[in-house]
Amino acid sequence: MLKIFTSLKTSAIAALLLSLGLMFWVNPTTRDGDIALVFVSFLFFTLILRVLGLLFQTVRKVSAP
Amino acid sequence: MRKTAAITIGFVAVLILVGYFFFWSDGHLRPYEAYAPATATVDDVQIQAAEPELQFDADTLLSLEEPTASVEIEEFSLSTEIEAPQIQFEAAGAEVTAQASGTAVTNVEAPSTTAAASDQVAPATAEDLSGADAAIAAPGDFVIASHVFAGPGEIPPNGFLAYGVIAFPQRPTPDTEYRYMMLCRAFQDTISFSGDVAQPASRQVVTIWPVVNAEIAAQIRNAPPEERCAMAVRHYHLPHSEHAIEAARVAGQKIGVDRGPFLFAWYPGEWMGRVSVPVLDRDLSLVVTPAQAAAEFRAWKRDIRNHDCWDCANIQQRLRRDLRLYSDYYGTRTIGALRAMLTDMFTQDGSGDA
Repeated sequence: MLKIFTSLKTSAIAALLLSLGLMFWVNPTTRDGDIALVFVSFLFFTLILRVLGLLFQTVRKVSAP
Repeated sequence: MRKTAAITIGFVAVLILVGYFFFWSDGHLRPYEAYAPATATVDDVQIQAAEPELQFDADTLLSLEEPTASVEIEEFSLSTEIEAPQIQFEAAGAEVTAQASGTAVTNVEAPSTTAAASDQVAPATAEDLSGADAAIAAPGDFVIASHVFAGPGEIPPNGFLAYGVIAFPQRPTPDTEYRYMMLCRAFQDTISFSGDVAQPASRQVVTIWPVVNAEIAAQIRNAPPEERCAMAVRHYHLPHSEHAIEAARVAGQKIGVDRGPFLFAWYPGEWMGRVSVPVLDRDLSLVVTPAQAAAEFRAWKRDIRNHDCWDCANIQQRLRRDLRLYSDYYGTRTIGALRAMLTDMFTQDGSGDA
């Protein structure tokens, strides 16, 4: 279990936390609504965070001496 | 790698902090200053005059040419007493005092003092406002939402502050009757019946469930609460609903061909059917569960309480509501599709191995 967690990307963990936070905030009234919201928002946040990560990396590479 | 992770975590933390502060003002958490009663900036004071054409004989700042007139003053002091309501304006050395019985609708923002008024205001006394309604709503005098079942001859209802309609674009069918019943129960259980409310009709915004005629409406009103919805759904009056939908379109609302129902309210009620007037509206097309329906009617009541600002959009509440409705409405389909996809994947894998 610990291996799974340590092997997870930071962006994935952050996206999962954000999607869970979104689920608590939105508070859908059905179980399927909860799952669908977490699933879709997880994909959305992962995409956003990965793109941001890539941007940071690119900026670092460009700015590196 | 470590640096990237740290940057990502920092960014997420900033996002969370920004989100927290962005949603901070939503509902239960407010800055302390919002409760301070001392001085306040009032954006818009509406003085409702019983006599139109009532005018101050002064420089143009205050005028009551219509029954409701807006007064914009940048600097003044505000003092109220519940027993003897009084609003006092002071601008550039001049003073206007309005004291009478009645109501004045105010938007009180965070207390602050702003720049001096640009125009002079001539003195006016209570005698000038005789017959005018000018006072701050006392705590027991707030606007409340109520509901009623009414027939064509009873619409628009007389004496109410404003009125609204629950408008379905079609009559109930055997397939959709369950949903009508669910919405009617939520409507009835969430919004108080007009006759049970302590407030006078002039402080109620009544939402009407239209039925085919006044006799049926009277029967429904006299029936026990648990039997009202069955009758109200069976005798739903489609023509009035279509009229309300068209009136909302005329007023500038974008009403699609969704299944509804739609909630509309006009303030004042006589403005129904006029072009480009503010309409409070709420689309309940995506409502699928009783909990959602109750939440929608609770939100409708909250919106009605802000009847002086129906055009003000609350982005946070709208975003939250839309996400909730969409996730509930499409949730079952999304999960079903995912389940089917996974099942197909595993079945194909199994057959490939075999």
